Parts: sequence; C-alpha cells; structure tokens
Amino acid sequence: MLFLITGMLTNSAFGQNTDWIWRPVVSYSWKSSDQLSYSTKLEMFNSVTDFDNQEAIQYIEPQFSFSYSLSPRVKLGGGFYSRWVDPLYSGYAYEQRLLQQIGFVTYLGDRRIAHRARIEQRFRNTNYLNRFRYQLSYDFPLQGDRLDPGENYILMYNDAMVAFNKSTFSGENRAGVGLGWYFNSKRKFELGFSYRTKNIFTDRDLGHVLLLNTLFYFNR
Amino acid sequence: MIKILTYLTFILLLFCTSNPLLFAQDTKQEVETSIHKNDMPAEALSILNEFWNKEKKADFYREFDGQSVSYEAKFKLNNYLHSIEFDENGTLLDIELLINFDEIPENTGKAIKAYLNDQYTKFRITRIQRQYTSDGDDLSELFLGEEFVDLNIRYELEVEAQNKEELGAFEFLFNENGQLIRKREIVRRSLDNIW
Repeated sequence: MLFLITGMLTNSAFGQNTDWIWRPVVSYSWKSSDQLSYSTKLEMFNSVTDFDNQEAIQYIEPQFSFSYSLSPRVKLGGGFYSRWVDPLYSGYAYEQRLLQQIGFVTYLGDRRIAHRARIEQRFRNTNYLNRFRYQLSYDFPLQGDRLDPGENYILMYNDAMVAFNKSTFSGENRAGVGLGWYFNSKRKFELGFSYRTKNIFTDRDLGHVLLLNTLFYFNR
Repeated sequence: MIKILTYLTFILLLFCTSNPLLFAQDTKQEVETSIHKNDMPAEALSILNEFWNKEKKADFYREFDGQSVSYEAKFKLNNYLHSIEFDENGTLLDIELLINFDEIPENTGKAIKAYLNDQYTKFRITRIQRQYTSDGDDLSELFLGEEFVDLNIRYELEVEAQNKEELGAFEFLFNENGQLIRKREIVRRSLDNIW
C-alpha cells in the first residue's frame, strides 16, 4: 500500500490535475445496545491552494449512519449524508446521499482486516448518481500485541468505487495511510494522507487529489 | 477559515493534554507496554533463565490494570507460545501455553462446549491457553519437571459469542473439570474509523 501511494505521489503530485486538500473530520459515536450503534460526523474539504479565497471550502458535510451487528464480526448499516457544496459562493449547491453497507472483519492470525461494501444513492441538484464501493483496511498497534490507551496505531486502507447513472460511468480509487493516537476508548485522533485517482474508465484525463486528513473520534 | 482553524486547534490541544492513565482507570482497561528485558524485575529474569539453556528471543511487557503492575514474558518453546506472568517483585504468578482445542482433555472439552452451547446461540473459539498455577510450591520447578499433577490447570478461552442478550468477545476461565471460574468481556478496539 505504501509503495502504491509513494508511486502515485511521485507520478502525480506535481501534475496539473492535482488538487491539494485538507480534510478535517469530527466524529461522535454511541451504542444503544450490543447490536445497535450510531455515528455522526462533520466533514470538510478545504482546498490548500485556494486557502485565502472563496474556493477555500469545497464542501461541508454532516453525516449520520447506524449499524446493526449480525455477529461479532459482521454488521449491516445505512446512513444519510448531506453535502453543502461551495458554501462561500452565493450560488452554492447541495447533495443528499443515502447509503447501505455491510462490514465484516477477518483475521490473519491476530491481525484484523476490515472489509466494507457500500451502495450509495447521490441526489444532487444537477443530477442523480449511483455508486458502489469496496474498502479494505488494516490497522495494527505500534506497541505490543493489542492497542492500549495512550498508544499509537497505523492504519492503511484502499477504497475502490464505480459511479454511474444513465449517461455516465466512472471509477475512482482512494488509498491512504494514517497514524492514530488512541487516548482511551472514548477518544482517538488520526493524522493521515490519502490519494484519490478520479476519472478512471472515462475519456477524460485522470484526476488526482492529495489529502491531509485530521480526524477526531469521540465515543460515548 | 480562521475561526475553523482556531476551533480545530482547540480540539487538538484538548486531545493532546489528556492523561491516558486517568481514562484507563475510569474504564478499567489494562495497559500493556512493550519493555526492554532489562526493565524486568531481576527475580523474574532469574526464573526465566530456568526455561532455556542459552539466550532465547522473547518479548517483554509491563501491564498496569489501574491498580497493580505485573510483568510478562512471551516466547516460543517446544513449539508452544509461552506466556509467563510475574508480579511487581518478580514472583511467578502463572504460566500459559497457547494450545488447540483438541489438546484439552476430552471430558473437559465436552464440558466447556456444553456450557457454551447452553449459554449462546452461536459462538466461535478464537484463542485457547492452558494456564498453570501453583498453591505455594515452586511453579517453575514443577512445570519444568513436568510434574503437572501437582499444579492447578485451567483453560482460558477467548470466544466470540452471541445470544438474545449479549453479542461480543468474551474471555472465559474454566477449571480442569470444565467448570466456569470467571467470565470477562473483551473490549476490542472500535471499528468506527474504518466503518
């Protein structure tokens, strides 16, 4: 994964089709039972190159999702996201998104691999889009066999997706690495980089997005 | 943008100034820290030397459960992963070996399976350790001398299980007859960052 990202950065980081983004996320999660859990997030996309003008904020997105555990390793869920696009412009746009997903965990020895398959319906003020996504992620503690309060962890993931409607079809890939600070079961912080390749399976030039991610997680 | 930056900086500072041990005590989570061999109590190292003729690769840990400190050495010996726990002074507490379910005596295994079948609609055993303790006698001497009849033998199982009331991962400790001694819920790290 690291090689993949390094290679992509080398090839594209300074290309003309590269956007540099700072993506802060704040998340709050809670459980109502062993089976049912909920999560709210606030996510922003900030253009680093346009930080001093009206294009600084590309979107603000409140998110809500829930999940139901079918077993200790499998859960089903859904959610609703609402995106406010270009909020600093007077002619801003919206996108409402519904999603359904299944997540499951597999183990290689003591190592946990998480899988997530997701279907999305994106209702924009300009069009409607479907999206299928599959994410594979791996995280492991840096100290010892298990992650204890006060310790760090590494996270790696790849999220591949296709988007389509009646007239368009395109693919996108998102690969990322992150360093996490696990303060306790109620709070953690992640700092990471991710790399998105857009316009796959289209006639257009590939688009590249490099993101600095800062994510704060609160759990009740 | 300045306001947003200020807000995020405030949150970051709030995170960074937290003392993890305070929260560890609130949640009663054990904190296991990897340490160097030289940080182990001298008495513990002396006992460990009985386990091998020459220097062996091992991992060493210090564990704090919010109230007391213990030390642990983990290494492979005779094809079994050994985990040896000591108290703060280096006194040997227990010896654990990672085993497969079919290495549990048949009647004990049946009793354990019967208990789990009775309690849960679905379960999956993910880890089994045979635990040796001693009532006052020299545990390491009896263990290395294979005088197992003079030792207390228990079985520690990690199980993913569910029934109508519970769903999660649990640690069970059974005695030699397969009777339950203790059950604890295992707090796994959250999936909220990859879900």
